[in-house]
Amino acid sequence: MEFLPIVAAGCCILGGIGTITHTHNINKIIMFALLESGLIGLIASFYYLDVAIVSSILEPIATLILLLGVLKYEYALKTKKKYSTEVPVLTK
Amino acid sequence: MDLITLTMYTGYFLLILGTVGAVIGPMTKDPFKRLLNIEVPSIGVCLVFLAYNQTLALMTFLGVNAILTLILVRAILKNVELEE
Repeated sequence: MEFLPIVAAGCCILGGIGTITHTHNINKIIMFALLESGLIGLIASFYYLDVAIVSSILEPIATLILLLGVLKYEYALKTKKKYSTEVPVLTK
Repeated sequence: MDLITLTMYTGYFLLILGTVGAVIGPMTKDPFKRLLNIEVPSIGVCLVFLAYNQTLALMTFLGVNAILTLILVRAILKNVELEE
């Protein structure tokens, strides 16, 4: 058995555990990129190089969408509370 | 353990881990963190497709998954903006 699929499976397992257990959004996206790189390594060790082309093109697009989305999401969370219509005295 | 068995066990491990993490994971009241936990079992499904040599299903699932990520991120942002 070769060396690439063992390293790729280790990347997948570590990335999965890290994606679940981290609680900050940027750290979760970084560990998810590790998981995707493990998937590309396993696909390449099966010699399915056409699928490796497709996944190598599509997965950075997904990561980029997630990064832009998390920036906009945290900005929206930060600026949401200011314009609430409830009177703060009556809510308690 | 050969290559197919290794890929299949890794895929099933990621499926179970990602499903449990998406249901009772840490800080899943935030919908974005739940979306990021949901990405883990999709990679597990990709590995199971790879272990059974379903190449066309794997390519289709990878393509649909990127579009699905875009739509879910837009939906979560709209939900936060309209929630008041």
